[in-house]
This record gives sequence, C-alpha cells and structure tokens, in this order.
Amino acid sequence: LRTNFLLDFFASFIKIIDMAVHVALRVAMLFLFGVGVSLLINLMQAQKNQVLITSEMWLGMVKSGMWVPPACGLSAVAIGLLYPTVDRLLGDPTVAQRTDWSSVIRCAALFVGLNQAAAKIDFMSHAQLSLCLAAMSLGLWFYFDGSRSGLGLALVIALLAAAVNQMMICLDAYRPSVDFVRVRAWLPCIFFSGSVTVGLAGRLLAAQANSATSSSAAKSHGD
Amino acid sequence: MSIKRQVSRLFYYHGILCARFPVYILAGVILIILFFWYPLLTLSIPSRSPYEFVIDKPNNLTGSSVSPTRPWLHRPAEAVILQLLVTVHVSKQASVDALRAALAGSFELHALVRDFQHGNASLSNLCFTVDEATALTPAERRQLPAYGCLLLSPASLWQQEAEMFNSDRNLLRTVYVSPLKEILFGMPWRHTGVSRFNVRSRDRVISYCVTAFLKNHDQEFVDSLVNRAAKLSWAKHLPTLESASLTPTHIYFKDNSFIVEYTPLLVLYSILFLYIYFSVRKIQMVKSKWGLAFGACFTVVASLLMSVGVCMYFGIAPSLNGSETFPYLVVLIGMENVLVITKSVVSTPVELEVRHRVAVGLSKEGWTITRSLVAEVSLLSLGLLSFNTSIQEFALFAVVGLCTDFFLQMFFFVTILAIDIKRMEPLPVAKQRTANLLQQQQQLKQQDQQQQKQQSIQQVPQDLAVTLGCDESIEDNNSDSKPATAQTASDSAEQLRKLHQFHHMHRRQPSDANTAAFLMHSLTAAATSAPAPAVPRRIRVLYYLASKRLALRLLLLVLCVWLLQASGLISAVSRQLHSSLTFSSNLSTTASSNPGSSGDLVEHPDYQRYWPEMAALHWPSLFGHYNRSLAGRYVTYLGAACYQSAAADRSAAIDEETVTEQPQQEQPWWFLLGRPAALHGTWGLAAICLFGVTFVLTSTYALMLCCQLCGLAWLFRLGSRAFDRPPPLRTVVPVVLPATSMDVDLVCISSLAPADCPATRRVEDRILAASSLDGSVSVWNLSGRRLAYFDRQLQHEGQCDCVTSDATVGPADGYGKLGDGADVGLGLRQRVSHATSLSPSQAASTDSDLAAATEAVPSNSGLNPASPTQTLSSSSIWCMSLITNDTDSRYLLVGCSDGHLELWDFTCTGSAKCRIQLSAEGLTHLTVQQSQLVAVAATATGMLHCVRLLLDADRIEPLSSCRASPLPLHSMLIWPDAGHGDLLATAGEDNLIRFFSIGELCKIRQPQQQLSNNGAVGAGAAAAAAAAAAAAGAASFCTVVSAHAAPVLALAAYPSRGVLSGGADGAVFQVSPADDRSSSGFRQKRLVWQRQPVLSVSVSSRHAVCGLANGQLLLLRLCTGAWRLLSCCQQQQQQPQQPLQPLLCTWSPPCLLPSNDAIVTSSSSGLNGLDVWCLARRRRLSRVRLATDWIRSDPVQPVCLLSQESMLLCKCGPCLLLVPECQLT
Repeated sequence: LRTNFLLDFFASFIKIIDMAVHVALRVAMLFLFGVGVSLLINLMQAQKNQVLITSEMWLGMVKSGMWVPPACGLSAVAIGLLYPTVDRLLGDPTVAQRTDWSSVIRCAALFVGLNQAAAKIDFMSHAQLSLCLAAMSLGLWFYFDGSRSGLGLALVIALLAAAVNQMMICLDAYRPSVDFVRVRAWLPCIFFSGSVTVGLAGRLLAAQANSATSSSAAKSHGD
Repeated sequence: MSIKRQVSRLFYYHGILCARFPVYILAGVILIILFFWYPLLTLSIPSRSPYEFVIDKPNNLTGSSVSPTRPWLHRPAEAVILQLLVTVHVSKQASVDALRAALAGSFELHALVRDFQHGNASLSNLCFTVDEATALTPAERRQLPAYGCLLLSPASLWQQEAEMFNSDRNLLRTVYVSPLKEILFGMPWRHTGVSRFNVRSRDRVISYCVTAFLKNHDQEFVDSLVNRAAKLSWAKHLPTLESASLTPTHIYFKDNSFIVEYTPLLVLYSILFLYIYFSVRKIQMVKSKWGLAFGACFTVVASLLMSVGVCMYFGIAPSLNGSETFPYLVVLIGMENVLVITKSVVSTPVELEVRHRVAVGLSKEGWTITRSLVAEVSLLSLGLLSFNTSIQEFALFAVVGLCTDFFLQMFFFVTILAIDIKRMEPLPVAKQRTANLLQQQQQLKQQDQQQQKQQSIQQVPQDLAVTLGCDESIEDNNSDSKPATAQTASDSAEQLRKLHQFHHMHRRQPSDANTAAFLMHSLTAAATSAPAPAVPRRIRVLYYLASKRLALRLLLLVLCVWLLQASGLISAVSRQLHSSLTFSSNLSTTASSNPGSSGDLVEHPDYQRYWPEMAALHWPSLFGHYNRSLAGRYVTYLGAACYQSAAADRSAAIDEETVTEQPQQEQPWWFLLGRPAALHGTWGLAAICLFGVTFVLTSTYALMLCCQLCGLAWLFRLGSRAFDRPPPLRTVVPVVLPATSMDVDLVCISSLAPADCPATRRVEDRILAASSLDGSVSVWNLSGRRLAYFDRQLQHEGQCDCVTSDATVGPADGYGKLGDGADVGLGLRQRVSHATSLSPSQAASTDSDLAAATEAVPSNSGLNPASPTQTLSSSSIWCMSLITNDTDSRYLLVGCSDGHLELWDFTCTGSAKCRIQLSAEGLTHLTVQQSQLVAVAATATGMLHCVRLLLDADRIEPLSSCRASPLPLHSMLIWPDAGHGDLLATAGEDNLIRFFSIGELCKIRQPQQQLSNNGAVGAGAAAAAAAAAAAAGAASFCTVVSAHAAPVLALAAYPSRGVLSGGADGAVFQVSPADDRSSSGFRQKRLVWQRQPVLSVSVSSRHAVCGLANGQLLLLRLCTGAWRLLSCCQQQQQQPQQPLQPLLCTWSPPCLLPSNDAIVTSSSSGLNGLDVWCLARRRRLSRVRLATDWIRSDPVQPVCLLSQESMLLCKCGPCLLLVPECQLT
C-alpha cells in the first residue's frame, strides 16, 4: 500500500513538474520573443530617428528607457497565454491545428516587414500611413489567423495598448519622440499585428505542450 | 462545385503531362527561365545599399544659422547638384525614331553647359572635378567623364560625339545595355518615358536631365546658366518654374553604425533561413530530400528573379533595395504550395503508376492551390491601390513573383517531384505490403476461434462496404458486431444471415450501368442531378452563352481590334477618311494643331518626386565609382530647371524617314483601348496590373468553360429539339420466352462458334441463358424452345456431382460451432463437403460459414422444392457465361456471390458438374476464352482468378490468381487480338485500364498449392513468398494504361483493333496497341471529353454508343479507322437520376445507308415499349408498343441485337422478348 501510494504520489509529482516545465518553456519563449521584437523595432525606428526609447535614453541605458523591452516581453507572455485560453473557452481550437512553425515564422517575418515599412517608407500623410498599416495588419490577420476570437482579442489588445500609451504620455511617464502624430498613427496597427503574431505562436506552443503532455501521459499510462 | 471539379481535372491532366515528358518540360522551363533572366544582365546593382539621408531645407543659403540638430552643416557641401530637365514631346509619326529625335538636343545642351561662362566664372572653374572612374569596366568608364568636370547627360553615352550618335543604328539597345543609364539620364528610368517595346503608335513624352555637379553654390552663375539654356532655339523654358523657385536641399548621407545598419538585415535573414528550414523539413517520403529541398528553394529564388526580369521587359526597373526586400518577398510568396504538392503526391498509394500518382496528388490539391493563389494575388493587388510608390512596387513584384512562382511550381517542381518518385522503385514496396498482409492473416489465424469469427464478421462487411462506397452499412454492422463477443453461436448465425442479406442487397452487377451509377452516386451526385428538367435558369443561360461561345468570340474580337489598333491600320484608315471627308476644313485643322500650341499640354516629370530616389541610390554609387564616399557628408541639390522642346519640327527635321506631317490632335474614339500617355505613372501601372491579372484569370476560366461546355452544349440544344414532335407509334408482337416468377436478372447468349458457316446455321444453335433473381436459370434456344430449367438450390441438395475445394487443408473448425445454431437436416455428404471446403484463411472460412448457414435454411423447407421463393435463396448469381465450343455439350459457367464458380451442364443431365470456391468475395465478372477453355473471374476487391475448364472430366482446375487492382473492377472483357494472343482488359475504380495476356496469366504459380504441399504450420512464409511472386508477376505481364482522371466505368472491345473505355470523368478513350508491334505499349486517344460520367459503352462493327449519367446518348462512328463523334440525343428526360442502359444495335447491314443507323432504348415516354432512335438525324425514328396478352408494368429493356437472326432481345420482368428487327423500323 505504501509503495503504491508513494508511486502514485511520485507519478503525479512528475506530471506536475512536467507541466510546469512546459509552461515555463512557453513563458520563456514568449518572453524572449517579445523582448527581441521590441529591440528590433526600436533599432528600426532608430534608423528613422523616431524612437520609442529616445536616443539619449537608449545610449545612456538609464532611467526610463530600460523598461520597454521587459514590458514587451511580459505583454507577449500575457498575450501568448491568453490566446489559447480564449480559444478553449470559445471552443474554437482549429487555428492551432492549421498552423505550424513555418507559418508562425512567416507571420513574424511579415510583422517585421510591416515595422520596416512603417519606419522606412515615406508616406504622404499620416492618414495614408495608418490606413496602409491597418490594411496590411488586417491582411496579416486574415491570412494567418482568420478566427473571430483572434480578431476580437487583437482589436482589444491594440486599443488597450494604445490607451495605455496615451495615458502614460498624459502622465508624463515618458517623453514621446519628435514626430508624435506619426507614432500615434501607426502604434495601434503595430500592436494589432504584433498580437496576431504572438497569439499564433502562443497557440502553437500551447498545442504542442498539450500534445506532449498527453503523449507522455499516455506513455506513463501504458507503462 | 463544378468549377472545383474542372480545376482539379485540369490539374490531373497537367500532372499526367508533367510526369510523362519530364525531360522536355524541364528543358522548356529552363529555357523560359533563362529567357526571363536575360534582362537581369543589364540590371544596375548599386555598389552599396542606399544611404539613409536627412533632408534639410534652410531658409537662407548662407548656412549661418546652423541648428544644433544639424551639426554637419558646419562643413561645406561635398557637391552642389543642378539639373536641367528637358521634356521632349515626340509625335507618333516619328515613333520609329522617337528616341533619336528626343536625344538629339542633349548634345547641344551638354555643350552649352560645358562651355558656359558668366563673367569671370566659367563652369570649368566652378565645377566638381573628378579623376577617372576606376570601379567600372572600360566600356562603362568611357561613358563617365574623366579628369574634368562631372557633367552628365545622355550624350555621354556616345562620348558627346554627335557623329557617333547619328551613326548608331540601334539607339535603344545602346541605351538599354548601359548600366549607367539612370545616372546619365538623371532620373529613375520609369520617369524617362523611354520604353523598350513600342506597343502602339502614339505621341510620346521623353524626358532626360543634364546634371551638373558644382563645387560650391553660386546663385548668380546658376541663374544665368538656366536663362541661357532657355535661349536655345528649340528649348522653351516653362514659365511656372523660374530660376528663383529652385529650392536648394541639403542631403546628408548618414554614417550609420554597423550594428544599426545591419542588425535588422541579419535578423531578417536568420528568420528567412528558419522559415526555409522549417518548411523544407516537412518534405518526407521522397528519394532525395536534399534534392527536393534544393528544388523548392530554387523555385522561389528563380521565380523572384524571373519576376524582376518580367518587370524589366516591361520597362519597370526595380528601385527598391533588393537585399532588404528579398526576404519579405520570399516569405510572402512562400513554399507552402510546394510542400502541399509534395505531401499530397507522396500520400497517394504506391501501387499506382508514377504519372498517375503525380496526377492524383495534384488534382487533390489543385483547387486549394488555385484558390490561395487568387486570394494572394487579390490581396496584393490591394497593395497597388496604396498611394505609395514603394509599396506599389513591392506589391507589383510580389504579384508577378507569385505568378512566376506558380508557373515554376507547376512545371518545374512537379516535374522534378515526378522524377524523384520515379526513382523510388514501386515493386519492393508492393512486395512488402503483400508480405505484411499475409503475415497479418497468419497471425489472425492463430488466434482463438471466437475472436476469429468476430473479426471476420467485422472485416467482410467493411471491405464490401468500402468497395461499394456506402458508409451507413459499416456503421450498422459495427454496431451490430460490438456486443458479439458475449453472444452465443446462434446470435452469430443470425448475424451471418444478416450479413448474407447485406451481401445480397448490395450485389454487384457485372459491368452494368446501374452499378456504375450506384458507385458514382456519391462522387457525381451534383453532376447527375444537373440535367434537363431541373436545370436552373442561370445554368441554362450559361449553357446558352457557352453554346454561342460568346466569351471566346468577344475575347477574339477584342484581340483583333487591339492588334489592328496596334498595327496602326485603323488610325491610317481613319486619317484617310478624315482627310477625304473634311478636305475643305483641312487647313484650319492643321493650323490649330501645330506643335507650338500643343506644347503646353505636355507634362514633364515632377523632379520633386524622383530626386529622393536618385539621392538614395544613384548619386552615392556615382561617387562610389570615383572612389569617393558620401558617408557623413552632404550634397546640396538645387533642383531642376525644366525645359520643353518644341519637338515635332525638330524630330521631323532630324528624322529623315518620317514625313513632316502634323500630329493628330483630337483623340480618336478607340483611344481607350490603347494606353494613353497620361496613364504612364504609378496609377497606370496599377491599372495595367489589375487589368492583366483579371484578364488572365477571366480568359483562362472562359476558355476552360468554353472548351468543356461547347463540346456538348450544341448537342444538348439539338437533342432537346427532338422532343418537339412525337414520332409515330407502332405495335409489334414479340416472341415471349417466359422464365420464372421472378424477374430476369442476367442474360447471356452463346457466341457463334467460328467453325459454323452462317449459311448452314440454324436458329436452334443459338442458346440463350437467363438467370432470375431467385437463383434459377433457364436456357432456351432461339426458336423459343426451353432447353433446361434448373433451380440451383435443389441441385445443390440433391444432384451435386462433385464438390471440390481449392483449399483442402485446414481443420473443420467453423462447422461445429455453427452447427449449434443452424444444423438442421443437412445431408451427410453436404456436411462433409462444407467441412472440407473451409479455407485456411479466415476470410474464406467466414465465407464457407456463410454458405453453410445460408444453405442450411432452405433445407428446412426442402420438402417443397416447387416454391423456391419461399426459401431463402442461396448465394446468388452475379455473373455467368455460356461455353459453346462443342455442339454436343453445352455448359454454363456461373459465378456466385459467395465466391463459388459453378459449372453446369444443361444438355443431357441438367446438373451441376462442378463447384469450386475461388475466393472469399463474390465473383463480379466472368469471361471465358472459348478456344482454350480458360475462364477468368474477377472478385469485388480486384482479384483475378484464372481457371481451366476440363469439360471431359467435369472439373474446374484453378490455375492462378493475382491481384489486378487494389480497388474494385468495373468492367472486364476478353479482347481477341491476333498479334498478342487474347488479351484480358480490366477497368476499375483506380482509374486504370489494364491489359493482361491470358496465356501468361495462367502461368502464374498458385500460392495455395504450395501452401497445401508445405503443410499448415510452416505455410506462412511460403505463402507470403508465393503471393509476392504472384504480385511481381502481375506487375511484369500486365500493361497499365492510365487514361482517365476518374474511375473507368465501361469497356468495350471493337473488332478491328482496340478498346473503348468510358470513365466517370466524362471522357471516352480509344486504347489501341501501338503501331510498333514489337513493343507492348498502347496508344490512347481521347474521343470525347464532356462533363457527364460515361456509364456504358457499347460497340458494333461501325458504331459505338456511350450512355451518360444524365441519360444522354453519344454516338460515335468509325470512319476510316478513326472514331468520330456523330451525334447525341437526350434519351430520357423524366428520370435523370435513373441511369439507363443504352445498348446499341446497328440496324444497318452493310447494304443499308448510314442514315438508318438506329438505337433502341427503353421507352422514354412512359409507354411500356421501346424507342427507336435515328441518331444520324438526332431524333426518334419510331415508338414501339409491344403487344402481348400478358403485358405487365415492368419496363422493357433491350438487351442486345442478334444481328444474324435480325432479332432484338429484350427483357421485361420475368420474361425475355424477341422482337423481329423488321418490325421496328
């Protein structure tokens, strides 16, 4: 009896550890993804002299400049965990089945391209810029995600992030760069497409973790 | 739905094509690729990636107010750039040498600027001096100034020598091959208005710049230079752009740090490689992974380069930074299609032929690929609507790249995939599979009895249900068999009975139109439900349009008009007309249209729009040519002074060929067809792109639709007209041959023995045999005398002479269990026979269980043999054949639903001579080669069993068995072919037609005999080896013809040479041996291609009739060795769901005219009779009512024409009818 109990306990313990490892892996990957993307975008904007982290802050690596990449990483983690949860709640887990790593990478590459377009290309007006970006990010969603829950979440996140951004400017938390209108114009679109990308990655990670745990559980069951 | 089918069918044939001629296609594709890569030779690649630059527009030029944000303004500018922009309007009459006319002025202007002096200052003092351009080839170096002022103009292409310019016969080539053309013209190429192809004659606007690089800014000098240039005889300085309006701009080329410049690029390329890695990793199950991965990458890269080439052919040079946009383009175009195609092709069954695998794989994914291509193209076309040149250019390249990528995928990748698959040998795989199958069977055999029975219960109906394509029955049987583990044997006997009913219910008829329709029901439900009465109006409109070929003609018309317009014919004619009509007012017209007044209308390129591109790309590279770097420096751009050439006079003066005729001022009405000069910008580009894409898509679809519809649309129209007036009704008295109380099922007729002389033959020699649904068989001769009638069940019980089994080994295990439930009153002899007939394989044992159970039941009521309908019938007859090689003994060979083959003698004894179990599944097709007395029976799962009939010994000797197809067969026939010996042709669900040589088919060693020799224990390996050998043998002597894109439903041999095959894809093929008799190849030729599945094909000496799923009939006529589609008629309008059995009769003996060709069908007008169709006139010749005293409600179905006796054989309910032919027409 005691050995059985111990074995059971051990098995469940291992299971919990297994799940925890998987979740930690997911979290770490998403975090790294967010940090990387934020640094990349910043670099691109630095070429244009329109930086979220203004150049002085960036060069000095002091004060408020440092918080942006970790914040991006954390939000990526949140979004990446939120997407599969919402999918499960709404009962539409089909997106994760359709995607694979190559399409996630494709989406990420196009997201980077979107940023580059926003940073490098001279548009005639801000309206044009934001219209183009909006169309492109919608196209991104349509091509890669295509689910209604994904659209809703991305919209909510984009609006929320833009609102937070606006609030921080109002509270004078950080100084916006020179061409503020431009930043405000493209920011929600970037947030939107970013959340689509991160959501896709998060879904795929969740699906893989699920299959891994289920297969390992089946294996232990079989043993 | 139908579009889907059509698209996938196109993909199917494309796959066949690619896999068939891989070498030619690869060679062609590579030629095309090289052709489109050719313009890349002239692509000027900037020496470095473009510099980031900052624009500053100071209020005053002194530079005193240096802002803290512009610290670089402290230093003097590296150079000051001034452009003199000349716009030349060339009339269309001078179109041949428009460029020559336009560029002639550049020499004069170049010299003027070079030698200009203002006060003390001359250009040579002020200008920016350079050394020799070192980083170029000598030819290019000659075009750039050396050791002097940096002054650029198109004249530099000819080293500023007018003689060289005049003697240059091919200006356009000189301009185009120069990589420096954009630097020398001073503007991006698309703004110059020079195009390589002069599509149509029109007025053109050509622009170029003379670019002067100065050391420092001297406003006075610049002003005087600009004004002096305006005083040139031909130049007209535009009043809107005075010299004062030249706004200087500082352009600072940033000296970016390495990290900032290259990190995004690095990240981008690492993402790209990740993407490629993750994509290519998915290529599996191929011979050479690396080869295909390379092929996939090559496809993408080559398509991008091709897209650049295509765009350059049309004069759009890429201005984006290639290294930056390349990863995005790759990612956007993607490798998904390639992977999908690979996966789909690889997942097709390996038994199929290679080209067939490729075709099936392609056709499965064809629709998705097309759909995603259209979606991507339309999404990217939206990008053309953005008002940004960079995005537009990107989208344009992406769209063109998508198209070229699609092309390469279809022609390049599919071909190398086919080659790769061809390298994998299919034979070992097949061997492996067979061996595995046999091993599994052995394992199953060793399991205990209960489990075996249960499994067999489950397996057989599943197999059968899969064969028949009906899913509900699977579920039913599964749900039934689940609780069977705990049930007693009586329950299992009950189940067996059900199973038998199931068998009986879903029996296969041999090569029957009904069967085919049943099989095809799920596939072509839409197709069969489409025809006449339920046709929606829009489809009818579509049919009508298609019948008129409106779209095709419209496209042709547009093309013709456009060609005429391009050739200038229309304009010439209209000018002629115009001059002749308005001769009086001609003077005033020419006066109003002189070039001076027209000059104001000409637009010039806006230098504000193009200079950033020059600054980003060309000026840094120009300085790079002189080994100077602009990084960290700035240049000042003064702007462009615009001039306009009064060109028409000048061009006329220079161009010796052209007449000095005035340009036509008013736009003609057809100007919309051509490309007006105003559409030259990005909007024009977008419009052209959109137009091109839509044009290609619509025209492709229209062509497809027309090709597929026009084949039948006109026939449809004419066929329906035949119903307008009913033909006369006539009454015919037939000879009635009553059979039994049940309906007649199968009819077979003895063929004429070759020794028989037609003159001495008697009617009595011809024998008819008919089986009815209750399993009884009646035999008549043609004089109407019944020769024999026997009920097979009675015979089974009493008179079975010998019962042999092909498998004598195996314990009598099944019988004892079964006996608990169903052991009532079986004779001892039959018990023994059933016990011994149990096959060692589990499937066979099931079947003999089945046979025992079902034959046990009639023995309950065996006291009343006169009413066979009361008893549960034994295994029903699925096929039969008469053997008539000898006039004395007449034999009937019967294939049953339980896999038994029975030989009956009906002349003297009327008893079953022999009964042999050939297979576990029912025998669906049976053919007998009369001369050698060899019979071939096919099972529902595609096995062929070959037996020899030993008539003297009353025995059937099983010769061999092999698998003809992994899927069920639909048709089988023996094709007497003198060259090769008799051939057996089979057509099946797997889309293939196979030809077997009967002689070799008999020679295959039979695995069962080895099995019996070796004994039961060690038989597994031997059986596996034998089966593998049989499979290998089958592959070697079988010739496979893959013609159809869908299951082949009907086969018919025509006597001269060849086989006609009709498929569910609506095609009819003629398959005949290749002319080269030494090879065993077959030639296939498509005779008909339409949309309806072809359910039956019947052939006579000169005609063939194909019955379609919607009830239409197609008549083909053999004239001079080739089949021609003669006509088509709508046979039955009332019941489109019910496919008909059109059976051909040619009424015409050779003396009759072809106009008497006729077909007899069941009556289409609800009358209980026959319709006679004259197919040459596409109408019914007559309607025939059959007058008998017992007439019933059963429809009369024609079976065949007995041409020698001039009788038509029909079946109607339980009777056979013989109708004299002369009474029909």
